[in-house]
Amino acid sequence: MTPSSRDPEPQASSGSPLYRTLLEAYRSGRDGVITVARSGEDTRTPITLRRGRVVSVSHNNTTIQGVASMLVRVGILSDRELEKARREATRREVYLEDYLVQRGLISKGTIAAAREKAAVELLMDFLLRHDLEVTATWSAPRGVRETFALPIPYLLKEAQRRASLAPAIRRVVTGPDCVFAKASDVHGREVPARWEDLQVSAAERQVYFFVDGRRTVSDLILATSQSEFEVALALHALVEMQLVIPVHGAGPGRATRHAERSALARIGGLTVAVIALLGVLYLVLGAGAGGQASLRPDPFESLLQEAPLRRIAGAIRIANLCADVDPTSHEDLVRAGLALPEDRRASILLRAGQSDPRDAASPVGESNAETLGGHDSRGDHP
Amino acid sequence: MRRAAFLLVLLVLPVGLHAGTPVPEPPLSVNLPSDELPPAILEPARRLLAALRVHEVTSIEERIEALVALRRQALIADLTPVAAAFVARFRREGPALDAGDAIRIAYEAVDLAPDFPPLYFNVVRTLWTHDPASVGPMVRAALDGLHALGRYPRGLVTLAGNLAFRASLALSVAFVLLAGMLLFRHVRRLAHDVGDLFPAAPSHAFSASEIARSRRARFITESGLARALAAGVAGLALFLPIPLGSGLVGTGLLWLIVVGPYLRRGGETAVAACSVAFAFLLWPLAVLTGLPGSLARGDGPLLAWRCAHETCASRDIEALEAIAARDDAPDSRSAIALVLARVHRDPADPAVLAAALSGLDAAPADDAVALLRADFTLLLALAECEGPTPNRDRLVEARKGFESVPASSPLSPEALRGLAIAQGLLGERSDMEATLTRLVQLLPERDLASVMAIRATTARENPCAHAATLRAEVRPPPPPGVLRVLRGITLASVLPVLAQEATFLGRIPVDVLAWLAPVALVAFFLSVRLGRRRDLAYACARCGNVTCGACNVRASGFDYCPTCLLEQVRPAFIDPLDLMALQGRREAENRFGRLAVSMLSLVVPGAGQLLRGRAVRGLFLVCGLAFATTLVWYPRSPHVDIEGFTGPPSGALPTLPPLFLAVVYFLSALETWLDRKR
Repeated sequence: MTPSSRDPEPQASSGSPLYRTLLEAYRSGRDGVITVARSGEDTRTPITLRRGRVVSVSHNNTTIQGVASMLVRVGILSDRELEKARREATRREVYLEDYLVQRGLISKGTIAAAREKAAVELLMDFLLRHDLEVTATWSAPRGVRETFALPIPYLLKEAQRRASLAPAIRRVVTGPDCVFAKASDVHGREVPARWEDLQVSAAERQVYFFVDGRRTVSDLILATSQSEFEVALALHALVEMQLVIPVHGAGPGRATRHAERSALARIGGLTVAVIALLGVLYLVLGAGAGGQASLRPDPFESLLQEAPLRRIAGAIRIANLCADVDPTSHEDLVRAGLALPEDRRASILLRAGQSDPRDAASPVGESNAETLGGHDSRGDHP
Repeated sequence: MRRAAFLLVLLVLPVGLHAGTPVPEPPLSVNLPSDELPPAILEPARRLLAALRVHEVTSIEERIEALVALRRQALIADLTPVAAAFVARFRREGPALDAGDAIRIAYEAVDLAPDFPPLYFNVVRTLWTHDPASVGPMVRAALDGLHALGRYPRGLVTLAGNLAFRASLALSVAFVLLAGMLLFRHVRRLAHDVGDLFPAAPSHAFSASEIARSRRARFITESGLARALAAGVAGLALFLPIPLGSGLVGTGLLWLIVVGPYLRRGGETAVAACSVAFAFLLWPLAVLTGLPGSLARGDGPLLAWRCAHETCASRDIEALEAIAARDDAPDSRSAIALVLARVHRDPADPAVLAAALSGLDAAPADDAVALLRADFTLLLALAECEGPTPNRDRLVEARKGFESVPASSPLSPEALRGLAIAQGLLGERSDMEATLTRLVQLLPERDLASVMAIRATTARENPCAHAATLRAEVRPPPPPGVLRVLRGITLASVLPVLAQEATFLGRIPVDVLAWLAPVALVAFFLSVRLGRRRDLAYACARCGNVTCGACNVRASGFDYCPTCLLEQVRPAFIDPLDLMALQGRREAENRFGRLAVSMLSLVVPGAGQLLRGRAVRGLFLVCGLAFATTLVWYPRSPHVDIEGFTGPPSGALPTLPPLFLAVVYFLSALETWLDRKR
């Protein structure tokens, strides 16, 4: 590829070392590796050029780890899924990227797009910086994996565009700690009744969603996974449309304090409610404990306890009429099919003259004694 | 203000359900009645049972005939103790008898106590054992048994008490299950709204940055504490009624009232209202369950009924005398019972009969008393024989007495019998024939022999020598129906008994249910009506997350589920296929939830259906499960008719409960299978 009339003209960003190097490489049609480092820092970022395109940027943001983190941020992967995928990939000795694709958690296309986006944002950052040390090695690189293909003219033009828009944006978005709020929240201004009626771009819509009067621009960058420039641009547009307004003096400290205060208020309110309910419980149970003595026995329990006694009483009545069944022997009653084996206890209680199985010490009931005694005329029992 | 009001309701409602001071319970007593058959009946009864044991068919039939004659001579309507002992023994010995003999004996034994239903069911059982093809006689005998149940108040009350016991237990279990499941189904929405009553904490994390920030120790502590406290508030408010003594039913009522606004308009609201209405039935069922016990205690109407129509003990006669000696208005049932109980013991003693006649003076005049008066006069005429013929003056008096009875009840065969005997003994043969013609039209086929006996005996020259035969043809007034026996019973005299009362009602007296249930129903409908006007939490139809309008606006500025909005603002670099894969993974998670609910349907029929929103099906299955549970829980009935006890049920495992349970589980599994794609 050779330089043409469509070459980007150096403008505001043309002073940056990387811009100049890329422009030179593009014009001379060289392949090679440009190494970028910030002044005074050891971290170096190699940028591989081939056939007028950037095909690789070796940086944490463009590794699969960085890309995966971005995907987690945008909600397409969950923390749990990513952790599990990392463990499994290590166990199976496969690349995390391959494992994610194999498992169907993410597609190759999305990974490539996310990596390309990360690379573009990284390169834009480098292109707009003047404090970089740039060294170039103009020889055809070998063994470098082409992970994307970013045309150099596009990168240079985009850098120019951002450089030209930056002053206007900076007037609205003064720094990463700026906080914006929805105009409707602050002034009660009418907003479109429905979300889908909002006449903004997708990126602006995304930023608008997360603007809440407490999130800073840095928070919005993280939340939306957009670049600082894109977020600032969206905020600028939203401010122009009077959908959001800057909140002065609402820095991260204030947002944090607000969050902490509201959390404490919630905990306080809930604690009061719990204490009130426990107090009610204590008061009522305390009052009830004093009156335990006056509680009646459960009539249902009495009914159940009386049932075997009644069955045995009925059996004894029949046995009193039968010459061959001893009404005082439970075994005889069972053998004659008049009583159940499990009613032995009731039989013993009745024989002992106790009608109340719960109170073995109560005096013998006259009526029971009459029943157990049977008829006076009976004399044929052993 | 609205928050405060809602909080107040949440706090006050459980306390409002707190039970008052419990009422004292009467002392427990089995109150076994003494068994005192007249000696003249006791010995033949023993011989009957002995003959049955050794399968002496002729002897059995003779004894039955003798006992029936003795019963009739003593004006005893039913020899229930003898009949009960007969049925108990026949159940064991009957299968060993010859088919024809067994069936004949079973039919003949009905005359021992024509109003005792087990005798008819004994006929059914005998036919089933020896002649299963005779469906018609079996059905007829079964219908006769059911008809007799209406004339045997003790048995009917006992049966009703046992059924009410099971029904109340089933209703209580079903009610609590329904309330619990409906609460569980909507608990997330309820928890969201309870949480909204308190100051809002920072909104939930929508991105990894917020998640990362939320991993700070302070945030975790605060957030965990807030969640724990919110769960504590909701848990305490929802379960506080249990330690407060409102039991599971009171607590279930609270749950339904609270959850009312969240119910869908269709089946769920109807089912919830239905389950609140269950509480209506608990009180009448508790009264019915307590009725047999209350009637068995003291000098209730069953005492008078037993002494009048069966046999009764000396102490029971003393109790009746005590009632008669009271200053308050004389009770005709007690007065009749007293004189009949005395006559049962010695029906041929003129002194006893004369005393009985004078005893009837204390009873209010009605048809039964008039018939008894005529009966006693006739018996007195036979007891005061002047040579070979009865006392003529008494006979004339008796005839007048019988003639006056049919004026108000023209179809009384008892009066026609007495009239025919009196006319025959007075020598008025043509009148007697006319009376007998009328009587024949009223008598059942098996009683037609009586007509011949009356005609033949009264025609003899010395009827006094056959006084016993004639006494056997005199009939007392028929036993009154159950409603007449129970007339005069006040609800205050019945101690309501609810199955598992302590568990289901806690310390709430059962009587409170009579007004608590209607109040709860009104509160439920108010809750449904007023709650729907509020901006309550809802589960997003798209993502299933619970949110509410206020939270939506707070999160995004729009009344739109913020989670779904987040879906719409994803960066452009994400492949739509990945969004679909994400959606697929979420659906897989939901599928697990659906599978869990389906499994719950198989474990607890009805519960899964209620959680799935199939409220009406769930209601039926829960009720079925609850009823089957009661059968397994209490295989033996709590009420026992001691006087009519015919032995316990077979010792083998009952077949009905497992069968019923199997049907319920099968229906639930079938419904789950048919509804699997929902």
